[in-house]
Amino acid sequence: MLVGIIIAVVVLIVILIAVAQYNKLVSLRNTVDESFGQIDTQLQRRFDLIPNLVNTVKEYAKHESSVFEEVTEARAAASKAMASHSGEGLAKADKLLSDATMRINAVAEAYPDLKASSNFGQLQEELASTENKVAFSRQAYNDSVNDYNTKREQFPSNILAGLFKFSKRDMFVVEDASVRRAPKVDFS
Amino acid sequence: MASTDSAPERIDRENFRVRLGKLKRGIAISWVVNFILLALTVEAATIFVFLSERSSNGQIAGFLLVTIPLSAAISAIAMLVISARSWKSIVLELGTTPVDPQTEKYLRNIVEEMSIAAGLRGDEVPEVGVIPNREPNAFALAGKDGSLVAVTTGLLELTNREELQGVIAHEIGHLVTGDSRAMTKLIAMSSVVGIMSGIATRMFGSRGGDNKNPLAIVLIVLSLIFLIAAPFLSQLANASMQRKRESQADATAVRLTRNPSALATALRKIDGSYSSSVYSKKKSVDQSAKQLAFFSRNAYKTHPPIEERVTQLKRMGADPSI
Repeated sequence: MLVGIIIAVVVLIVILIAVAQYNKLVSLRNTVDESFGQIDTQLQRRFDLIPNLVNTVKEYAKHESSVFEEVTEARAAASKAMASHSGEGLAKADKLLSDATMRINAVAEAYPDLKASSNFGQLQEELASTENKVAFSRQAYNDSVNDYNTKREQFPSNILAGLFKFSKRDMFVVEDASVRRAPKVDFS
Repeated sequence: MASTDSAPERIDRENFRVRLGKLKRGIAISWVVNFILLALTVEAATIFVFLSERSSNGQIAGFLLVTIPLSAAISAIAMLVISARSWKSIVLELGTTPVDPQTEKYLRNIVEEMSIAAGLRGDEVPEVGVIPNREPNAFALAGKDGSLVAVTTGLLELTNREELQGVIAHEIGHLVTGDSRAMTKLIAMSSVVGIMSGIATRMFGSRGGDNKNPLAIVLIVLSLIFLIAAPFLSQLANASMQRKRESQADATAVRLTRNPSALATALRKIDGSYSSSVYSKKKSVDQSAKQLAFFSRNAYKTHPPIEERVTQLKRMGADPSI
């Protein structure tokens, strides 16, 4: 009788732990998916910003039509890459779009009137912020992937992860070396 | 795509989660402390105003038996009312100012960037507000109906984009750990304690006559002492809770921005503007704003000294020459 109760209690505890661990894994995986969506959203913002930027710069720099054509082409290519909604597609679109905006900015440097216009100033802030938002959404995604992968590997949740096929997720890697590394966070 | 993660960082993130759990418990403890303080204040006020000095011991026991549960009930109701109160009323008291669309966009952008870094969902992104005050300061408020990050015009003038980003990341840090929500309410509770003790101590009537019961007199005197001390105790409890959270919010800010140097220079600038004494004697926003002012240097000593915080930030990788 007593042994029976002990076994029942132990089984109940194990089940409760398993449920909690399983739910934690699900919630971490959802966070990964959500933050991946955020990268998508922010890339779309940058994508939408390019025509505005091109039009503003065009007013002042009519002779740079070849640059505008290239930027428009890059935008179309980015659109195609983004449509796949895969990690690699987004990484490719990210690179294309950031190169495109950089090229327009390089053109703008040569036109002082343009740089002085308030319209351009506002666009610059919008652009700087969008770059940041893309970078921070990547960072948040990588952090969430890290949390999820760690939980996947840790005991005892690794047993459940294997049982219910919680697959490993990949980080969003950018080739740009200037992307800031995660700092050492100190709590002492 | 390869993993770029290294072992020490992973440990730090584990550490972060453990700390977060501790902070949440800290908030729960603060609630209990504040509830007890409030209930004691109500009880002390009742004794002070209503207990007759001529009561017999039996009458005193009866009085306490009735009033203690009553005080607890009143405090519980007060807490519920405070919980339901919106942060918007506090902002109305402080008075935000409309700013030109460009500045507003700039501020909103930075708040959105940090919300993204913190992984907040679209509906969790705080609103922004600007307080017309030259003292460089920022705070975050939160309640059921969303949250708000407010900065003063002084802070906008003083900081560059990166520094403002650091300060706002610090405020978002308070939001994600639940500090702001708790602090917003705890401060409201403190003010209830203050108002209650203020009213009660002014209601002292003449209580002449013979046959005074020493026990009743002791109770009344003790109540008076407690009523005088209660507002300070309550603020002390809140300040000690808040102090511990500042270094946590700094750490969160670094985790979000990956830029400890900018926050360190922002802190130095804010510190410098205070010691230049131009603002130091000016009355700041107001009492409740002062307590909320997560960046104010001398807000009831709610913050560890700037020097300590900068040193901490240097340990997290800020430029050692700051």
